[in-house]
Amino acid sequence: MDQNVEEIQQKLLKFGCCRVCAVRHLTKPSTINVKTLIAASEQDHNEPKRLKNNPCIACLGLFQNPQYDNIINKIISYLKTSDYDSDTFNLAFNLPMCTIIRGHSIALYVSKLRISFNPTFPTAFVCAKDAWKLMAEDAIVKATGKRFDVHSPLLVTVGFHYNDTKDECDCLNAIIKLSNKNLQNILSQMDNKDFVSQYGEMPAITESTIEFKSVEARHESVYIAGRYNKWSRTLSQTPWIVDQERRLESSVEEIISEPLKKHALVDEFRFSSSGREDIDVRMLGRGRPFAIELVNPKRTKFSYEVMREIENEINIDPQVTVKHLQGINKSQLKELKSGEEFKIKVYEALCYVEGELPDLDKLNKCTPLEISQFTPIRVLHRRANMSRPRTIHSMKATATKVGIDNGCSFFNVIVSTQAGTYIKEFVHGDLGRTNPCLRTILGNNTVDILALDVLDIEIDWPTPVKY
Amino acid sequence: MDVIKNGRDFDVDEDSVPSIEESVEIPEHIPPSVVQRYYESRYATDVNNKPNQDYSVLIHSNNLCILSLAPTHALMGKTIDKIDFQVSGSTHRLTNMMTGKGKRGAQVVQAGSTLCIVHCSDGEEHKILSAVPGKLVEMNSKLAETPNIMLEKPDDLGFIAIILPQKQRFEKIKNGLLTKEQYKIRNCT
Ligand SMILES: [Zn+2]
Repeated sequence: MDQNVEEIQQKLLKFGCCRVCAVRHLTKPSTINVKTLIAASEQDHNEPKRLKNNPCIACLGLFQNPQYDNIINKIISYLKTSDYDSDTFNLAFNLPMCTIIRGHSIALYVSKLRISFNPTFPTAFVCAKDAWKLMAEDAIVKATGKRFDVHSPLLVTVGFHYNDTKDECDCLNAIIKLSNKNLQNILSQMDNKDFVSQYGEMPAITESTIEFKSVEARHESVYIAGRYNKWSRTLSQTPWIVDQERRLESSVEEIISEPLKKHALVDEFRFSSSGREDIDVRMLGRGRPFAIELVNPKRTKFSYEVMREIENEINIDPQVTVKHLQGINKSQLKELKSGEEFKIKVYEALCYVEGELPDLDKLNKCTPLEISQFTPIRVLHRRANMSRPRTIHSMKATATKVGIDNGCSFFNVIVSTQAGTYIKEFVHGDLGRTNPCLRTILGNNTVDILALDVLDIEIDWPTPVKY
Repeated sequence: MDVIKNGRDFDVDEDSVPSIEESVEIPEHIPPSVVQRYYESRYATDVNNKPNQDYSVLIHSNNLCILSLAPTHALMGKTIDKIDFQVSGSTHRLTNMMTGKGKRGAQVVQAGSTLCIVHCSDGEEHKILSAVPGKLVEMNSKLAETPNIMLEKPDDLGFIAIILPQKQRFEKIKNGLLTKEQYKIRNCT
């Protein structure tokens, strides 16, 4: 080993560093070797008397027992008892601010010595959390069967407690405002002389030890997509709540989400879809594309069979049918939401006029048709009032019989429109605020709508599942 | 039901899905109109204590109020030449700018505020008054070009304005208006 490095390490040990900290403060992150760290740790454990009762001035006992083993055991038992099915995990440490400041102080001391010994020697060192993770990784992997991976979707966060962190940070308050975020950056931008004059040349020896406080985990969101049919005219897409009071017992969102929630063990989810239909509108055909973001799911592996099982559970409810249920990634979710404006939606409207049927051919011949639509009065209380241009791509109207003679003539119109067109208003005109509308095209002021179905959302998403 | 719709074969078995005609109850009589379905009809009479300043207020289930001329309004039977929306030096009802769902910046009117000034072919001038207070969400801009729809189709194309009363005052405002029955009785006596 380099003589100078050896000399500085001895000095650090004398000041009250543990061996792991003495080693890591003189190791470039790129040359780190876990065996060297573990060897240093074992050497310390074999001579526990060396540091007497005081914890290491750099790590405050993070690498020393009983804390060291205690933290590992807490992480292991958490991962074993929580239901996370991830094969991998990543670790994050919420260390008290003062440990970062202590590390900075020692780094300044080391680099000052190095300039006198060897000015070209780099001053970067292995920070405490990286060293700790490297050393503990093996034990956690062996006990839990989960691989350590910095890109893992499962992030385990360990929190620590240290009694004197406030006092230790307060001495810097006079010259700088500290914050947990970017603390390392704040410190490195400080003038070194200012730092030393406030903080001292070395961190103070302390009585209190860093202690384990908490361990918790969070799994990245998992996204599930599919298409749904709604067969009911008395079901809303999302929970219908007015002034904190439920107006309808259930909703498409809840019917779909409940079985998913149960399988994925989540407590939160976010439902999104390519548009929505009114309570009294059926969603027929190949259904409406939707996605559900499962927030912090514990179970994330859904086989083809499990997906079919979940579909069957959802489809027990006669009001809704879900198909093509599958996992998707975040970028696929963006596809669902992109270019929404230009997607084509196909509707069937059951319409009527009082008295004789007008010339329906006028409808078939007028497309493509540009209309202007003000925000419908029925949603105007919760949306901005504006006029939007919309395209009616095609219409096909046919006379129909309803089995009752009530003085009206009925006809069906299949309308293919730009997404976002309000069809009910396109039929009756909404006090002239949608123009042209079926009333103006047919020249009949009694044209109205009795029922509406969505026949298709022309988006090939998600990828169809083979049944 | 025909599975082929719009030239497309959907991959759902729709044999069991009722056709649109079978999926709703067909009323035995002429179904209720748009106004009857969504609105409650109320009236304000002698607004600002002026005789025959009578207005119809259609109240939507979402509290928006559609204001139009009542059959007993002083203007009924006349012909309109022109409608002036400049109601004061600084206020023009058709340049009512607002933003967002909260309609920030919208003109606020009181019961009795002038919404526009009607010039009749007989030379008379009539102020059209708001029957309810609230935010002026929309002034019917069609009245500028075809003013007489105000008289011909009051509860439809010829509505005057859409007003959103303050939520806390809504019930009080509504209760201050005549019901359809009260309005009928008033006109009989
Ligand atoms: Zn240490």
